[in-house]
Amino acid sequence: MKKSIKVWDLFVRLSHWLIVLLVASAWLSSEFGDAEFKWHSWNGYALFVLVLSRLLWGFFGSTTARYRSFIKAPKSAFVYLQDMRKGKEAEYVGHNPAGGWMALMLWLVLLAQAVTGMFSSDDVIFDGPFSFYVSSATVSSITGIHHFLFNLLILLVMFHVFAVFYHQYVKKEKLIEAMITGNKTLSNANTDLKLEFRPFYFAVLIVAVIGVGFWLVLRSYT
Amino acid sequence: MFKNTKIKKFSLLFVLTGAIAGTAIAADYKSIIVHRQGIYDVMAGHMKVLKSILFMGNENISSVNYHAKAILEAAKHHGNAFPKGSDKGKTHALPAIWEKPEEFKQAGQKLGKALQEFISVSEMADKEDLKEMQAAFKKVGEACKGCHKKFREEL
Repeated sequence: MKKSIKVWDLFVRLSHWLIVLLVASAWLSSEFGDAEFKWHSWNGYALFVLVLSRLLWGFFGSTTARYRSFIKAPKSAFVYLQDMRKGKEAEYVGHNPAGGWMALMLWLVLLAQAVTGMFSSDDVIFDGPFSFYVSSATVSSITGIHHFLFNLLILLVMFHVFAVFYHQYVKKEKLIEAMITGNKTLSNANTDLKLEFRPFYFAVLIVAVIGVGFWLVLRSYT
Repeated sequence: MFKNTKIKKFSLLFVLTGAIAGTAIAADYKSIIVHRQGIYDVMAGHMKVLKSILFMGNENISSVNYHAKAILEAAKHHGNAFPKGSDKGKTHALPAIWEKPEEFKQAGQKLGKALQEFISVSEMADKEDLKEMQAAFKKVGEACKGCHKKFREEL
């Protein structure tokens, strides 16, 4: 017997798709945007606030959003991948052990990307808001890291999308729909689990606190 | 690797000659590479000063015209800063400079035009001309970046 239950809360879903859009527009704005990087900067600030809030939601959010529920020993991620090769991986309510690590890596790379961007320079007219605090040699190295992290990010995104497509089209699990509607069709053993959901306004509060805090830091130190 | 010692000796000689010749050629272009990088540092210095005046509220508005002219003077070196062979060694110059000389030249001319415009806008300028100068400065920046994108190695 299979049943459809809610597994992803609204903030998890909304932040996921907003991050997708912001990553796309971050690339577009650096490649084709204004020479001053105004659009790219605001894009980066938005990503920073959103990703940091999502990382905090890993402590304070709903059950499936919390690290406690999806960060398992690295070994179990490898075991999962091996089971996947044999085509008999277990079913998970939220992230599977490999997917959990992937999500965490993606967020950390995105956060690092946003932070390095704030110390970067284009060597012409753009200087990241905090680049005044470090030497110009450091600015060039950090700019190099910013470019490297983008390539790393693309690699991670490719693995992430590939894995989701595998679940979606080979295993016929509707993961993409789940990330939109929040509902997953699961076997009975899993639908009996008690999932706790935190209200959306709580997430909005976290975003607001991080956003205002970051804005104050920008205003006072740059 | 080689059993025949004669071959061994000759290959060693060959490699050494190559290395020495290579070093000599690289050394030949060293002054050119250091010179053009120095020129870029000069331009970057003026750009930095201009940013402080145009965007950060520094009040030396009367000096904008001087910095604009100085960048143009420095930029004039572009024409002979990239002779054939100066693509070796400690340089961020991309092969495209020598593969597409026409395009590279046009990119340089675009900068020249933007700088001329900036110079004329900043002539006898005061606070009221700030907006106009900012716009002209951005055009200069766009010309720099457009060229870096195609002809300079990414950091």
